[in-house]
Amino acid sequence: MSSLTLNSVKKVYPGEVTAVYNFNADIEDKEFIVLVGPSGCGKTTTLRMIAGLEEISDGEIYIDDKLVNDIPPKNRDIAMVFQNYALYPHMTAFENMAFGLKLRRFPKNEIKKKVHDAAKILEIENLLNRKPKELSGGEKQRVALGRAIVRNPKVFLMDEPLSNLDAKLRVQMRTEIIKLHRKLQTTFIYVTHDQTEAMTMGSRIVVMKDGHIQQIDTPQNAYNNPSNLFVASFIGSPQINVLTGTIIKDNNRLYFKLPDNTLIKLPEDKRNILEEQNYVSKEVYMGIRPECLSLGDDNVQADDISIVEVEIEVKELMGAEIYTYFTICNEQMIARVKSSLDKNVGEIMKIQIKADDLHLFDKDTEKTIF
Amino acid sequence: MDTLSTINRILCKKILLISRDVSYAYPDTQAIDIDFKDLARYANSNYRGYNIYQISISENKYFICIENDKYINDKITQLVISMIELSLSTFEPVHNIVYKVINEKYTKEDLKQFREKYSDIIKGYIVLIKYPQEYKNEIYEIIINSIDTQLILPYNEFFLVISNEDNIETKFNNISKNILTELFYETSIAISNKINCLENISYNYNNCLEVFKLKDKFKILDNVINYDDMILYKIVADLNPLIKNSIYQKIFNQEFNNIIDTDIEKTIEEFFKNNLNLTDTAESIFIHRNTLLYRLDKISTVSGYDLRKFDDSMIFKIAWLIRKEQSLPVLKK
Repeated sequence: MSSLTLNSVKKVYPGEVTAVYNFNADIEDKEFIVLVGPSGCGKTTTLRMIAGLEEISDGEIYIDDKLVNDIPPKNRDIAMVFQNYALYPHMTAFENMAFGLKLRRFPKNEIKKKVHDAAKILEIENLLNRKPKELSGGEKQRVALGRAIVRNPKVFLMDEPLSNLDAKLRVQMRTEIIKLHRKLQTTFIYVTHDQTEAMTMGSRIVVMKDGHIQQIDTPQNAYNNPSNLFVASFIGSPQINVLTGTIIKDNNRLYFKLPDNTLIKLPEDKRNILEEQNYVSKEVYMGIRPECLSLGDDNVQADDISIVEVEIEVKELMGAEIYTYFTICNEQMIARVKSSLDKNVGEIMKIQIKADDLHLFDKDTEKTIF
Repeated sequence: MDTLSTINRILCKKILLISRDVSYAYPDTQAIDIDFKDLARYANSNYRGYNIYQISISENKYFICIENDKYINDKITQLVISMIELSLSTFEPVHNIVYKVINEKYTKEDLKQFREKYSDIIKGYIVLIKYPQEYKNEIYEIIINSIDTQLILPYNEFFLVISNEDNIETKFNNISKNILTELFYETSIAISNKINCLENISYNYNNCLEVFKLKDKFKILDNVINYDDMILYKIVADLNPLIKNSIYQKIFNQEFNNIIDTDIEKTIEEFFKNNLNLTDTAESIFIHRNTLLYRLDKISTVSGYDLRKFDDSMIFKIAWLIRKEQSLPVLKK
């Protein structure tokens, strides 16, 4: 068992600068939690507080129901993996992995067993006699992970461990870490600024901004049902398209009206929400994911579909699909459409918007309306 | 120590000589895994496969550890102990000399005498590494396994290291990371200039101490700091308070205080750290270059100083350091 609970955890630095406000989270045993957000959002500070490297200004942290606020880091039964691994240059991979245990005066037999077990999990048994200079970037990273694994910690804390790797290796190591989590069956807390890493690795993600938790959810749910405009914009690549407009009622139907008077149909089943919360005639933000903007078909006359004509500004062929860029009411938009698109830059393209795919956000609070 | 190798040749046994501050071993210097604290308790007995004997030379306590299965104290042992005592009473270990240099116990003439003898050892960067007593042995192990050193000795709350390696900052950054990973202890490391003679030790040692003072004063979060990078901090620390106030007021007006938040603060810090390079700064804080330009424009509009211009950035940096030194004003969230 290695659950983790953070109760109203707060970090205030001297000069009254608050880095983390009221962080509440229940992390279950064996979960892979990813703290994600832009730089300065408080994710690393939160991780450091869990590790005990940063004093908590307020609140409580429990590991396995044991309050650890005043327990020094070395006694918290955790292991950390940082962005830049620093292997001992004159030691073999085996000695690098064994070094921490040697410092803790573990018996030689136990060290040997733990290192071999970890090497097996990491599939680096054949590399144990090599020195760091004889290892590739990915292999070094695995040895660095091995140094943490041999400790058999209750919780793994990882602070942007892949940030210094090149793009190809990062993708490879992402998979390795996911596999590792499955094999170890231990709680992982992983910090990244990269939403793709968060989406692909986490069983749940904690999206943070300016020291506040914006949403704790499964990646899928954070993507499909973002709690606010920030989460909607931060999660997803390419980013969600956002337009400003007014909710209007015409012929007993609700529309999102753009500044150029284009009308986009809103979902009928959300009508009550908008009316009850007095959004009719109010300005709101509308978000739509690039993959929800499909090529318009004149034959489609569905009641929940709006067709908008746009001029293609840029086309980026991505293989199976094309990213097309265009402008609506001075806002840069992007659509992911099928690679069979036969229109060229400068030509007019019809795109269709399904009412159910729309997200609306309050203009003042930026919170999700639906 | 040559005496230890002679004894080892005669006895064919591993031999260690351990004092509070320095240890010697023959044949393997990395074999010392006995703590000084334990030795006093086990003097005149067998401990962890060694016979422990205690001697005192000029008020310094030493322990001689000779590899053996059971404790013996025969005439050969007494002879060995006498050899070591004699050797220690005539031998001035380099660490003793360094201690005395730091404490300015030598005259210039004394130092000249040592200069040639220790010219190979006293060559390299002077580095101070802070350590807590509880991790003294572990941190020592991490250092010697991470970098080639000419000398490493504990002094007050630091390890004083002389190392002649290239990329010294990167290597000590790695040491700092390893100490953090292995021990969950955040150390502070100060690197001074390269020295090539004994006389320079004291000056550079004091520079390292000054680095620690400036780190505290300006609340610098970096764990490894090079003295050369602290010169501007030193200038600001020594500035007349009236001048400090006038520079501060000029830049940090109400308008600036209204726009500053964690993003702007991070942008300023990283822009300076990346030598005013737009691409590197944008990459380091994971933002688009245009976002960075937007933030820099915003700073320029409210403060009147464009950080992309050298002269403006220089004045701004001084004001920024004054602000950090005084921890003012409170950041608006």
